[in-house]
Amino acid sequence: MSLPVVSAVLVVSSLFGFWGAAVARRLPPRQATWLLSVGGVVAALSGFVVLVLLASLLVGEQPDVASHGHWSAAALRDRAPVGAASSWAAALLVALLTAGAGTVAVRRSRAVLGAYRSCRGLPAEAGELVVVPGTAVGAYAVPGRPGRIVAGQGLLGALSALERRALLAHERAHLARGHHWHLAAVTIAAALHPALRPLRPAASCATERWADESAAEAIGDRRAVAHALAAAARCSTAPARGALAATSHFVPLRVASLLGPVPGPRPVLLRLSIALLLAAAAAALVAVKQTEHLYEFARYGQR
Amino acid sequence: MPKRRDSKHGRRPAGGLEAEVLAALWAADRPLTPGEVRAGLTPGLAYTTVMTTLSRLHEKGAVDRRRAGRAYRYTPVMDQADIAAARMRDTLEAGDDRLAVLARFVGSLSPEDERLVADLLREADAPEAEGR
Repeated sequence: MSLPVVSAVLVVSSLFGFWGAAVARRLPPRQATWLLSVGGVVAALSGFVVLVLLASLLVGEQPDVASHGHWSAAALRDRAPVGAASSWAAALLVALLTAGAGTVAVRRSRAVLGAYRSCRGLPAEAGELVVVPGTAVGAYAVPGRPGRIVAGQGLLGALSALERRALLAHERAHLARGHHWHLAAVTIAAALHPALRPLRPAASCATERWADESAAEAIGDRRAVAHALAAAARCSTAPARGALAATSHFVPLRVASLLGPVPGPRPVLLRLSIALLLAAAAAALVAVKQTEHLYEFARYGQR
Repeated sequence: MPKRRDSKHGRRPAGGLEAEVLAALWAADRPLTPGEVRAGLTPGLAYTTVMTTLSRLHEKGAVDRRRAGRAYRYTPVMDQADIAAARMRDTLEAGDDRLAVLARFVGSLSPEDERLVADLLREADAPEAEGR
C-alpha cells in the first residue's frame, strides 16, 4: 500500500461527491438516479476500504498478532505508507463512520418496515389510492407490498382531471421503480463517506424528476405535469415537522425541466462519471493488493 | 411505463382507472352520477367503461351508491377511508425517519418560488394563448 494510491482513492472518491451531484442535473433523471445510487455506494466503499486497510496496520503491528502471523511488526511499520498517528486516526474514523452508517441503516430499515406495515394494515378494498379526508396532507407514495398512494382530499379537489392523473402516475412511478431503495443507498453511502453528502439532495431531485417524466410519458402531456406540480404546491401545507418540510421539493426546477425539452442522453458525461468511479474502485483494489504484498514482505524479512 | 398510446393522453396501467375514479369522487365531495364522474375524468372514456369501474369499486366496498331517480349516485366509503387515514397519519407523524421513506409530491413554496413558478407557466402557455 503506497501513499499515492491511498491518496488517489480518497481524493477520487471524495471528488464524486461534487461531480456526481453536478452531473446528475444534466443527465436524464433515470440515469442520474442510478449513477447516484450505484456510484455513491462504489465511491463510499472504495474510500472506506482504504481507511480500513490503514487502520488494519495497527492490528498487524501488535506483537501477539505479528508472532501468530509470522511477520515482523518492525518491518511492517517500516514499509507502512503512513505513520502510526495516521493509522490511529484512520481507525478512529472507521469506528465513527461504521457506527454512523450502521445507525442510519437501522433507522432506514425500520422506516421502510414501518411504511410496509402501515400499507399492510390497510383494508384491501381501498386499492392503491388512500384518501385522507380534509385538507391536512398533500400527496405521498408509501412503499409496501403493494405500495399505496396517499393523497389529501383537499389536494384532489384542487386539481383538474388531467392533473389528478399526473399526480397518480407520478406516485405510481415512485413505487414501481423502487425509488426509496435508491435514496436509502445514497443515504447510507453518504454516512459511510461524508464527502458524498451532496449526493443526497441530488438523488431526491433525480427521483422526483424521474417520476415527473414517467408521469408525463404516461399521460402524454409534460405541461400538464408542470401545472399539477404548481397547483399542488399552491395548496400544500408543510408537515408539522420533518426534513421534507424545509424545501419546496425542487418544484421550480422540476416545473422548468418539464416545460423544457425532454432530457436527451449525455453519453460523454455518463462515461466520464463511470471512468471516475472505476478509477476509485481500481485504486482501492490496488491498495488491497499492496497491503497483501506488505505483509508478504514483512514475513520474508523475518525469515 | 407504457409505450403504446390508445388515446390522446396515453394508456392506463391496470387498476389505474379505479384510482382515478376514486380520486374524482373524493375531489367532488358530493354524490356523483356516473355521467358526472365521467365529466370529472380526462376526456375520451366510454360511459360503459366508467360504469364498469364504478361497479367494480362498489363490489370491493370502496364506494357506496344510492339510487337517485333513474341513476345511482356514488360516494367514497368514509369509514374505510378513516381507518386508512388514521393508519397513514401514524406513519406521517412518526417523525423524520419515517417521512424520509415517503416520496412527497411537492413541498410548500416560498413567495419567491411561487412567483417564479407562475412566471414559468405563464411564459410556457403564452404562445398557445396567442394562437387562439
